[in-house]
Amino acid sequence: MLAKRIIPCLDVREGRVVKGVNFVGIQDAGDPVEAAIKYDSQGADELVFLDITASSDKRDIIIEVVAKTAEQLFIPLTVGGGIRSVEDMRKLLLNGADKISINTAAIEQPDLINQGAANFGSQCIVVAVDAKRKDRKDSSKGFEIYTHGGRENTEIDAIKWMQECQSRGAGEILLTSMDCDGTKDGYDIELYNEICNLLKIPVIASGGAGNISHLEDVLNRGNADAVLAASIFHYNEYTVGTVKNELHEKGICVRL
Amino acid sequence: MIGIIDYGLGNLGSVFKAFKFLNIEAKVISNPEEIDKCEKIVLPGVGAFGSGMNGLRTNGFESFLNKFKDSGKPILGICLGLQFLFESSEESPEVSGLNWIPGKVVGFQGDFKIPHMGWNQVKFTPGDNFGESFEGKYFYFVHSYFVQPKNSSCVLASCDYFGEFVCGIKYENITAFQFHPEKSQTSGLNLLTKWVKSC
Repeated sequence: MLAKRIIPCLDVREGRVVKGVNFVGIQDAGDPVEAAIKYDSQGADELVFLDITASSDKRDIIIEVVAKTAEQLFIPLTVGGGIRSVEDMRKLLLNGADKISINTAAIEQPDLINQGAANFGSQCIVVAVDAKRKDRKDSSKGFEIYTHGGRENTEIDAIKWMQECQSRGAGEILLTSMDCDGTKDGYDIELYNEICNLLKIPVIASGGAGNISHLEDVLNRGNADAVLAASIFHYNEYTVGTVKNELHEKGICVRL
Repeated sequence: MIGIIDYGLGNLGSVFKAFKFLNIEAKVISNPEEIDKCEKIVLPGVGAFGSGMNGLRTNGFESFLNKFKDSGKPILGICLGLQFLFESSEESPEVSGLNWIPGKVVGFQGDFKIPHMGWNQVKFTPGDNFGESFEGKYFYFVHSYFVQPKNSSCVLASCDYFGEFVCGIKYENITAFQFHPEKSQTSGLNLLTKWVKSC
């Protein structure tokens, strides 16, 4: 049976892993290659590097990080952050990334999805989507897309956008609920339930996990195919192994 | 020395790095004439059947591959590399495969997610030496089409995705898998080592 996937996400800035500290500042959390190997040995199914390098002249550092990681990591690696062109995608894929993830660039130039899929195959193209409820208390009023790190409301209907991504050739959707991200209170189950049953491509849930029951919930009731997790692993509250063992005990099919 | 066939398509970088990690000597072969020098070859591939077979043909690989197959030296096919071995694929009906194994390639159909993407368990045919070490292990799949050999005697491995489908074959000197051993962590790396050592 196809297992649900547990995917640690690492924020990388200028070639170093960074993590938030109580939402106030960020601190250096080490070498991404070492972090990748650590998660791999714990049983991660895939890995995501999110490049948050602000300075445009330092943006090529991630390519070297990807190349070094690919020498030692033999699970799928997705790289996202600041990818705006087919050339950006090509450089990363040639250097060892298996998939690339685009967010704001996909909204600004949706044809990038088609071009990416045509050049490299749909399986390489992940579209990351930040969605927020129009009415916090009522999911039936719908969801809207946010860009630029969740700061700008495009007023585009999230469900319609994700369906469009699918028809343009996206291989997967990485969906973050802006209402839940960072709260550690769980995922927006209504959002995932609605989209996971509508789409034919896999959906990776992101944002909101505070404990393993949350993960179980979004994989079960939410019907997500995978979970992306950052802070739940970064602070060593859980290891990938303990998460998987517990999910397995709760009856969820995971690779052990 | 293992030759990894470069026909302009496919993820041969990952396959090459996997052999390098395992300290197994491998070389990317872009010139078909170099195939003869290899002790074994790997036929990788990600993408569409039609583009892949066209790539093999326009780069002049087909006749050299046929010769290599006849020599009896081991061949490993991965993903598209498994599909190429057959007659044809629904994905690109106007393009023929290498036609080494009778059977066709068909697409997943049904009310479930396509492609089949992620980690799934593989069942190996009892009695085969792969089965002992890898039975029930998870491997990484990403594909929308699967092979249907006419003859079940070549079936080495199968997998369940809303129905059982063939994900591994062994036919004379050819071994091939639908999943990606180079993306399947320890199980995958061990499988590559096993193929190198025992085939």
